[in-house]
Amino acid sequence: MKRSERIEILRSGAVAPEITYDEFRLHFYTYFEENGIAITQDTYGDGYKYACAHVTPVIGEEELIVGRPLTVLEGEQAKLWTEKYEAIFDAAAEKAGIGQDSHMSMDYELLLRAGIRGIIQKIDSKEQTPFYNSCRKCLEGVLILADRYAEHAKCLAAAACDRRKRELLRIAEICERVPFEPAGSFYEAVQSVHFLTHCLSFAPLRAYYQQYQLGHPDRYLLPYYEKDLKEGKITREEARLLLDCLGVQINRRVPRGLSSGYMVGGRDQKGNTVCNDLTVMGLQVIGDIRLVYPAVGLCYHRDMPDDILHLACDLLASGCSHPAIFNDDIITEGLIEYGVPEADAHNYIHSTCVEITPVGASNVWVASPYTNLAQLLLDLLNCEYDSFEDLLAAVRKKLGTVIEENFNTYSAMRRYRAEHCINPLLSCFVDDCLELGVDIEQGGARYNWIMPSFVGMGNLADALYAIKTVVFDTGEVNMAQLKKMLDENFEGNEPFRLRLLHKIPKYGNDHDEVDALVKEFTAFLVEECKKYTPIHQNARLVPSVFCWIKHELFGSQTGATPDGRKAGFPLGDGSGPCQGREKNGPTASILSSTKWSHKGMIGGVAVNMKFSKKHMKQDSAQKITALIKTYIARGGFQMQINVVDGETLKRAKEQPEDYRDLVVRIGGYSDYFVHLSSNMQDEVILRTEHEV
Amino acid sequence: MTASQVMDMVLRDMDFYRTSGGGLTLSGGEPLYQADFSLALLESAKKADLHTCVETSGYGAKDTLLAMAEVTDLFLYDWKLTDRELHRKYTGVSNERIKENLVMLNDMGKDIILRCPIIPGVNDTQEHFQGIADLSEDLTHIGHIELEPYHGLGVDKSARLGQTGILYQQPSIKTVDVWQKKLSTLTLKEIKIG
Repeated sequence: MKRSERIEILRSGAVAPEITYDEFRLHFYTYFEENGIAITQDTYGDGYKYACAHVTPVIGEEELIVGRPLTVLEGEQAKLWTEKYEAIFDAAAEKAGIGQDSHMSMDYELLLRAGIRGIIQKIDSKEQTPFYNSCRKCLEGVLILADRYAEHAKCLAAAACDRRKRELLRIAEICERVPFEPAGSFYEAVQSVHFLTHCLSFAPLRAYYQQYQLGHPDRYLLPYYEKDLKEGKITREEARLLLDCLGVQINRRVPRGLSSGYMVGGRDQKGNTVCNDLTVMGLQVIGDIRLVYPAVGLCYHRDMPDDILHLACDLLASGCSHPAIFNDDIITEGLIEYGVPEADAHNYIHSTCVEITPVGASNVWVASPYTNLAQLLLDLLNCEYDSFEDLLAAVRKKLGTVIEENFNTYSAMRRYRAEHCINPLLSCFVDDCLELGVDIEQGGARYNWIMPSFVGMGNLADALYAIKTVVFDTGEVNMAQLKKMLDENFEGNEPFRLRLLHKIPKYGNDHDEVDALVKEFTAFLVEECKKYTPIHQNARLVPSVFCWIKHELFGSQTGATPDGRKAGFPLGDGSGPCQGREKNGPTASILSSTKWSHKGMIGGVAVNMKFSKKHMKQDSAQKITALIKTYIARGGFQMQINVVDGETLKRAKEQPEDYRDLVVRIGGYSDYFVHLSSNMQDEVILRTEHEV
Repeated sequence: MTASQVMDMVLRDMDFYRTSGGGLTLSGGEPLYQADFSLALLESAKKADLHTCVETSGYGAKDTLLAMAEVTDLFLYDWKLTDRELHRKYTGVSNERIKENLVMLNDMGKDIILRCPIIPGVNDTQEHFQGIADLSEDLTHIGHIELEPYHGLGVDKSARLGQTGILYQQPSIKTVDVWQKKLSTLTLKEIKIG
């Protein structure tokens, strides 16, 4: 069967699949309910094993990498769940505590090298404690489930055509070996990695879908790939197919609207460039399967070959929304400053999107919490200030207070979780849990960071600069008058609002004064967060300006702001300029975005750029790669490129306000789409639709 | 704006020029018709060690072009029609001077990219393709040829100039492919599609 044929079948089912972990929860809680036992560190593992022994093994049509939950509960199970166990689960999950989880990468290298066999040996060499018991039992559970998958594969093989029979019998062989044994081949390695991640997704004490990342497959899979290739046991094409299958299975494990993926490229622990067949294939998966996951990050530095950037641009040009480009050097430097030794600082993961943590050693709480910077400013505008400096001081003071309060809240949450929640299976694969004999929830991980996120940095800077101009420089309004206009959503003051929005300089246009405000407040966040040390070892408060979808949510809850934004409108998306405020082209936008140091913002920085398809092709792609390289050279942390198609252009024509920063390629030059005449816009739309 | 105001803005993107090997490009309109301003910009760009490029129809005074060429690294030079009469019919002027200027630039050793707009029914002829091929074979400093298939983005401008639009046909991707293949049998120079 051709790779493309198989992928078509696999992906068609994985576009927006239903995913439920309720079946595992049902069995897990049945164990405790039926036996009248409480869930403790002593008993958790028994429940986990029981559920592994009872949950349905699912092998889909043409799958080569196996392990996934049911799509829905049906029949008796569904009845039992809705009538009884759902409520039990809800209560237990509430008891286990709120706060974040997953959003990191476990140690796959250890899994492949030692196998679960090796980890059990390690556990058995230690003095028995409830923690080690819980770990051993969960690992046994994983093995029980792997065996059941092998059985199921054999069962399916009996009724399958010859070709599929061979495949299923091979799957059975592999599931009987991994993840118990160290991986003996590339195929075994990929299966082992996926299967363990699948088992980790059960997490029966947690109400949220687990978002694990697959680390750097072009590092931990490389030895197995190279060995098989050398011994003629695999072809590059076969390896690519297996990686495609791995990618599809992510979509069977994590529902849409969240994020799961991996990173490729960068530097290894010795600082040498990582760029190999698997790096390339890791990117190609994106285009092969064309699904929402994997969310791939390309770790880029100047010693990486241009080809890899061109491949990235080609993928983006063809309509993929990944990879995102990450600045390997800046991130490594930033990690070192947060206390990570250099070797480990080369091995980091975007924890779903842009939040950075060391691989295989992290207990991180991202987005803890999100703070609405626009609202924070609005709340300060109820009094007069003697000077702009005084207002800035008030913002800093308020920010400081908010950071402290949130720190206290989340510290309390972490303490609560340490008393009410465990995750033994995960602990087996996160340093230093097994070494210390401490569960990850109780602080066994080497790095225990909390990452508060600050949304609307662009709005804050733009609004402050607007206030400076109209209240303090020209004095045309005082604060009370301005506040009144804001409270009234600029009713009757549209010309004034338009002036605020269009005539006063905005972040993203290479205007030093307004850009300086972003620099000031991002630096302030980094410095302020350094004052706090959460509980557990190597704990830091690491700020982020990543906003996920909160820019829309917060925006809808926030009244009109002095930057000319109307009530209810989204806040700035990411940490670049607010949408629609760039008027001086992508180079000015990049200059603005890189005037402040991204290094301290390890919690994440996301800068969005939009280009038309034509920009990404052939000669034009050279220019985009130059843009990316300059952004990186100037210290930019991360960049996401969105390539627009005909549909988007049509929308941009209807709603130019929302697409002011959209740049399209005309003949030999580019221009803002919304600046073109109506006819020219139609031409560009027509041309875009005719492009491959 | 003064040339120095323009250069202030241009130089802000210095980092990008360095990374991409890019620089300052003058297009238009027609740079030859704003000679003083163009020269001032090009001279400043050279002082800042920027690569310079001029897009031109070539229809201008020889001395003006000569002065500009002193501070220009690359020319994007139009070659619209080979036949002198047809050139006059469609552009209003003869192509003699245009050709002389092109030869002069080549003799000076300037890098040239030959820009050839191709409009179905107007110049998609064997004769013109042969003319493009002959020019590029003779002039060694022509780096490559860029075929510019007709598109409708000028219709708007034509209306604004008060001209009743003569509508030409936009060629299909297949047609453009045929043109490229045909031209490649006539010349060894690289042919790109603009």
